[in-house]
Amino acid sequence: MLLPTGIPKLDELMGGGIEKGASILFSCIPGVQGEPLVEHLLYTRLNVGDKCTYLVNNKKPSDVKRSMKDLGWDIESLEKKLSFIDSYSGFMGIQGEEKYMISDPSNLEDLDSMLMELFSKIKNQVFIFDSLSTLIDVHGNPKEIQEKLIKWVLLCKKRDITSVYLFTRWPYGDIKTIENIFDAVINLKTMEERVIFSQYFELSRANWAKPVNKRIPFKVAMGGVHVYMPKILVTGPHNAGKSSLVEALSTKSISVDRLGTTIALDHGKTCYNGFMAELFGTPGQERFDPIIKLLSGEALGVLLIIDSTQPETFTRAKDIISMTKAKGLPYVVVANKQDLPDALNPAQIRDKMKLPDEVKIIPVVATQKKDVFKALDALFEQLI
Amino acid sequence: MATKKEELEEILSKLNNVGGIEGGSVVSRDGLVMASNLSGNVDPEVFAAMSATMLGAAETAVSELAKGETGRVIAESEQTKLIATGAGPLALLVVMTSPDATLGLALVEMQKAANKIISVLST
Ligand SMILES: Nc1nc2c(ncn2[C@@H]2O[C@H](COP(=O)(O)OP(=O)(O)OP(=O)(O)O)[C@@H](O)[C@H]2O)c(=O)[nH]1
Ligand SMILES: [Mg+2]
Repeated sequence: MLLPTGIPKLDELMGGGIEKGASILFSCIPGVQGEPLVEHLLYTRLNVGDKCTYLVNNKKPSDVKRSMKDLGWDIESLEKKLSFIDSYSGFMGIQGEEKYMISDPSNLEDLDSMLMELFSKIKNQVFIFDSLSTLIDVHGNPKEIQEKLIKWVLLCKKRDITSVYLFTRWPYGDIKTIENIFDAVINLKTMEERVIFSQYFELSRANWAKPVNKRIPFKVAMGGVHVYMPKILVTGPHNAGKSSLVEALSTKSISVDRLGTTIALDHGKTCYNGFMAELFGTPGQERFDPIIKLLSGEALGVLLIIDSTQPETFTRAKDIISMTKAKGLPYVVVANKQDLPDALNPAQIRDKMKLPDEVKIIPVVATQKKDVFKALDALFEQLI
Repeated sequence: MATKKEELEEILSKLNNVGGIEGGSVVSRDGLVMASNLSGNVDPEVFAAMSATMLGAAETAVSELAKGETGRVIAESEQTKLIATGAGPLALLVVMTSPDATLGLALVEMQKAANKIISVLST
């Protein structure tokens, strides 16, 4: 049985979710936070009724709850299902409130006997260990920890306890040996491509799933972990409905319009179906071409919007696409104003614009928000 | 080793509080946030997109006149001054200052910061 994490793209990479009873390592390069992914997973599992045990050794259990609340999750109503093992408060000399306390987290034998006892009592749960690297830091001997880990992971598998470990890849020497203990490893890394700094996750391996070589850029915001596209370009001829489309797609948007036309840009943030994207709408009139060029750099994909009732503007649409550096980027043609009687249908547009079959044409009515997300879906499908 | 982003953040934080500067962003020429330490409830993505367009439009307008290169764009309001200046071909630097800031010092410090940004990005 596969347990979905609730992060759609992560589940997809793993063929549907984490295999029940499996052990999984979130292996983060320093500077990338793995906690939000684990918290997202925790929230999802609690929400479908799983019991979860969360061992924390680098912050207070209340900090975990607070950061989940900050992501917009009502954790109080789920608290009955969640137990903490507090391996932090005792160490820091603060009063802890949890049932399970570990006073000396550097004492591996104590931790081991507590976990072995716990794992033989519980069954069918999710166990989270946050974090393995802190344990290595306070204890100091990765070799001894590895031996214990192998035992823990095995017992959990027998008891159908799905175990999730957070790990920061400080230079510990032989990281591969640690990773090999687990049934699955998710890497969290950063990209520094020219000017965009983004973080992404990828599946390094999962014993139960086929390998997939995909990097998923993500951002953490309300609602947890989202696939993140820092720039989607919305462009097209004058009056096609670019500003209307940005507005229709966005939870929050701004247009720099004067006298009814865009003179600088439209900017919107969209949050949809596990995706988050920044939309950059361009002006359409030819005198603003330098701004179209300026805004098109670094775009990941393009929504090319046209007024379906104005075939005489289609050449301009094609000119814009080739003018933007976006040429060669995935794009979707958004056939707007389908509510008007003389609107051409996608087949007629394909014919008039001589678009190859693989280019998708999505009919929409931007002002009524009709089918606008279909256009976004079609683009996202090509991007990830 | 510090990432480029961290190095840029460091440059911004050193810039804070000199010459009345109250926060700023390093923005890619095409309007994406590279690093930011704006205070309050400023939306860094929107701020970045607008600043890049503002500077880009100004540079285009000036070069249409064939009167040399744009050094900077300054927008003044009652509560702040907004200054944008290029930092090489990839980036620009935008800062907000207090309304009574003396521009001279702020501009000198910005130019130094811009040069540092150029060298961070060219490595
Ligand atoms: N009937 C109809 N009108 C629309 C639709 N979408 C946009 N419009 C209208 O078309 C006009 C132009 O819309 P905008 O969104 O400003 O177009 P734009 O592409 O941003 O225009 P520029 O920035 O000037 O190039 C406005 O009057 C809109 O109300 C639609 O789906 N149906
Ligand atoms: Mg517009």
